[in-house]
Amino acid sequence: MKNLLKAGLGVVTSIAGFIEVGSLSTSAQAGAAFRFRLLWAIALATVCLIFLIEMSGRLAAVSKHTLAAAVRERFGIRFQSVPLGAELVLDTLVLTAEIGGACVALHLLSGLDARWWALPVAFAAWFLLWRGRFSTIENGISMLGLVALSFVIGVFVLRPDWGEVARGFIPSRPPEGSDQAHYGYLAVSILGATISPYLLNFYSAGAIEDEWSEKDIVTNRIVSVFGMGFGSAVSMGVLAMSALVLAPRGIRVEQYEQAALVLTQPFGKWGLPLFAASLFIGCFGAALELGLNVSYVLSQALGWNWGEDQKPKDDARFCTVYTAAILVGAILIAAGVPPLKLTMFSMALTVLILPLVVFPFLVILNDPRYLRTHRNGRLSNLVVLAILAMGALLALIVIPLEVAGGR
Amino acid sequence: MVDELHLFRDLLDKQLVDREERPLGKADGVVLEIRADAPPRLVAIEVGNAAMLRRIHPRLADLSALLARRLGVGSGEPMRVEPEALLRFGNDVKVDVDAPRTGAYAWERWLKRTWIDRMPGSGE
Repeated sequence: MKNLLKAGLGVVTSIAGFIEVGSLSTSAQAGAAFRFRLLWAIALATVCLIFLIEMSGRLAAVSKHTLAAAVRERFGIRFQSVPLGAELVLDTLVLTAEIGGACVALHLLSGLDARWWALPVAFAAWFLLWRGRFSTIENGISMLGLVALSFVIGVFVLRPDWGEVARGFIPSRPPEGSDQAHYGYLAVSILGATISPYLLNFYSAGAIEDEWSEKDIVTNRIVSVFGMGFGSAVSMGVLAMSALVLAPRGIRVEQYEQAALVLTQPFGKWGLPLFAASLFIGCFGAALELGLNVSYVLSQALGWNWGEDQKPKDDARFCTVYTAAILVGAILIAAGVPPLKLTMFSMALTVLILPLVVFPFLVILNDPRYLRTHRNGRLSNLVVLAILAMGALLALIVIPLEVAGGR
Repeated sequence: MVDELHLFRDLLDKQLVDREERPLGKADGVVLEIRADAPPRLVAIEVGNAAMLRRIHPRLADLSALLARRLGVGSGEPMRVEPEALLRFGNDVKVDVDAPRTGAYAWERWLKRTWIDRMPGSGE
């Protein structure tokens, strides 16, 4: 049972990677425009993420260092200031988008303008962080997140052509006459929205909060695969449902009301509430995770006292940082900033800083002072090198692709 | 105390903890005395935003100190830890101070006093 609860960290981390507002909309757009042809991008992002998440957890379990703390120690503040500054901006932008996504979910259910929900959603997120414990947030969100499995169940209900689904896992060119730039843009968006630095930092901080030790190395490996596998399955489910329901009708996903249609075919009148519940839980969970993460990275990089289980009076700086980030998010959404525009910008920023985030893995995960006998093997190093090369390539093409293929 | 340490490897940017193992901050800077006929000598370790920001850009350090003074947080100058206070090197560097009473906690105390303590459920 104790090991089962440890899976909560993997599931809650994957919710912010796969089931948040940016990933959901990108997967839905990909399925509507190119049917199953972009499944490979989700699969590739999942494999990359599993390796990086496993390494972040192993670092925390063996060295008792979070990723942000280890990067500060090993590379110094001059190096860290760039990815740290970018991540603080990125976390706040994505947090804003998640508050917006949760508001859209409530709008779908209530009909009330999404902007009116900004302050109540932000207050609820802040209150949970202020009063809650890490385990409550971790287990609560991961249990509620299971509702998103309705996307996977829906695929089985609609019985797709499994041969066509399987072919989607092989990278291929878009069909003749289709918008090639949009295909490239969506592939990069899926990778960019999934391999996010905040997931790596959050997971390593969570492993410290959950007091993992060297004994948890095998558990960490299983949790990484299981957790990211869960998120990936949901993300693929969204893409497949969109391919099955929206693509034949020629519907391009430009609004969430259109994306909600994917669940109405298999689940009838329950489709919309299920979609709204999945969107709300995914976005609200991601907002909690991002609020915590912005406090984690700053506290750990600067050496402050930190921890969600501490009382606010014992880590005032930690609490102030997430309070300020949530306040910024609430104000922007209440002012009418569209969440999807924010996710486009934050995706580009994620891709641009990816090489700077991944490079330290090569050094720290091979340093015996941190990992002792649990250093990276040849395969892990090869994967990090491959992600680094891919990250550098993506960083070069992301801006032109966003201009040419973004909608 | 140790007889020899590598400033970059063992000290700079390392986590400092106080005698109760509470986080004090990072070793944001080191102060050396340059002597004519002898090797440089470690005078102090600096902890605080100004010391850290000075390594990125001096103007940022000045702004940080100015902000701290304007808001009444403190002098804005980094706290200095003398080498004699270093107790242990390892995963963290342990120093013989009481962290919450030092200048490294000036912002923590100010935030607590300004808003955290006034909120319900802050733990008081």
